[in-house]
Amino acid sequence: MVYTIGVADMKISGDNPDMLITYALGSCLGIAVYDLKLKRAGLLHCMLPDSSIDRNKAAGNPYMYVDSGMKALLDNFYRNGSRKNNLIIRVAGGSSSKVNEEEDFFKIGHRNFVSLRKYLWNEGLMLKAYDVGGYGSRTVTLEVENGKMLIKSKGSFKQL
Amino acid sequence: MALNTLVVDDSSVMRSIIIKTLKLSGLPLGDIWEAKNGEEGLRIIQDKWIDLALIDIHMPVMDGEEMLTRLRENDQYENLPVIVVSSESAPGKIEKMLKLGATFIHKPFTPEILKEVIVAVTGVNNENTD
Amino acid sequence: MKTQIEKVLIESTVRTFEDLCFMYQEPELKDAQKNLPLEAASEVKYRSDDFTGKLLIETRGGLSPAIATNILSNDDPSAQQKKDALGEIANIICGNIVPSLGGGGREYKIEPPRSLSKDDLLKEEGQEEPVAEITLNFNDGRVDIKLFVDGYSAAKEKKSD
Repeated sequence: MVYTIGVADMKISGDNPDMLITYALGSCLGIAVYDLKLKRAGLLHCMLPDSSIDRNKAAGNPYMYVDSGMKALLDNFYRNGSRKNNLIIRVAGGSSSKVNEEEDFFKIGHRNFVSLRKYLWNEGLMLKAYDVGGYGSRTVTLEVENGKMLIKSKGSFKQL
Repeated sequence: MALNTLVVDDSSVMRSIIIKTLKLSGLPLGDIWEAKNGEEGLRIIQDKWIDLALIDIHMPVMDGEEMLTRLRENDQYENLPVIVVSSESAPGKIEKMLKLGATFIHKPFTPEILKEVIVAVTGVNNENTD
Repeated sequence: MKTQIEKVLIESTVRTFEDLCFMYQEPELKDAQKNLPLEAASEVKYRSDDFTGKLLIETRGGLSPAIATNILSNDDPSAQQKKDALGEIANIICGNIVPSLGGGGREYKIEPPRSLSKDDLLKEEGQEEPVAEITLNFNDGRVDIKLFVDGYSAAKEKKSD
């Protein structure tokens, strides 16, 4: 089955041959977590860097923010028996809203990525691969069977 | 192969960043040794088996350039993988370190970049499994 | 209008805070950030064949503990860890900026960072004029960085005579 993950949403599956997909990542991040041993895959599509800006909103939907979304995503993996050593974490998105990144006043995409690196550093995890920044939108697919992550951007494909 | 690694930096904060990155990298690590300057670093290299050294340039007592020069003068350590991790930005100084067979990482760096360079230099790749 | 050296200083500072402290610069200084009391300061002295001087970094509004907390993943860093973390930030920014002085590319030596008290700062205040001075805000706090080149004030006075 193919699951589509919308903006500020997340899906985890351990059923082969499920596929997770999220479209139109601009400044948002598409964060993929895959457990190599348990063959479970999770994909989070989050919008903003830091839930401290509105705790109530984050309580209602943690997937809006990088930090609260990552916490909810990883907690699910840990509850289902995942160990940190078996998790691979990859991310795509975080692009600029302007062709010239210097003109991007709020730099949301860039901040999202800094916020993710902060979360992982505190959590004792490290990114395995990333395709972030630049200008334009990305679509991400993640296969449950083998953890294969594909990024489609400007008509071309890239595997992370 | 487990990498016995030496981290030479006068800043305890920088040593802890590098060591945490090593531990999070998933690379097969052996013992990790710390030194506050080049002189201490050379002593550890003489006493222990070291597979990889990460060294700063600007340090009191003996700086990273002198440490690396002395290391390369000894045939035994001619090919020891060395990564210089420094805020040094003068091209001439960086060139000298490269000529001495080191790889250079500029501070500030992200943990991900440090890991990529360690993998490239040692040829040891990571496998995320228990 | 920012000078070239101030632009390089801003770039180095923003990158250092992003890469090592996991903090991003807020677009504008809020009013509350303008009158914050000093909480910590550190200086790094440098020397090259042509220049000697120092880089001075000051933090306000909880930035000093936040730097140590983020770098060390420790919610309650010790006083020494806070000093060491700020010192290392000063050290890195200084290493990045000094080779850009006077056309750039020159080799230099830098001394280990020194933590400064308010008294130390008061003693030094006004003695020299900085070549470059920037203020940036991260989190709810603020960082001020001044770059000094020894003899710069005297040379400037002489020029204006």
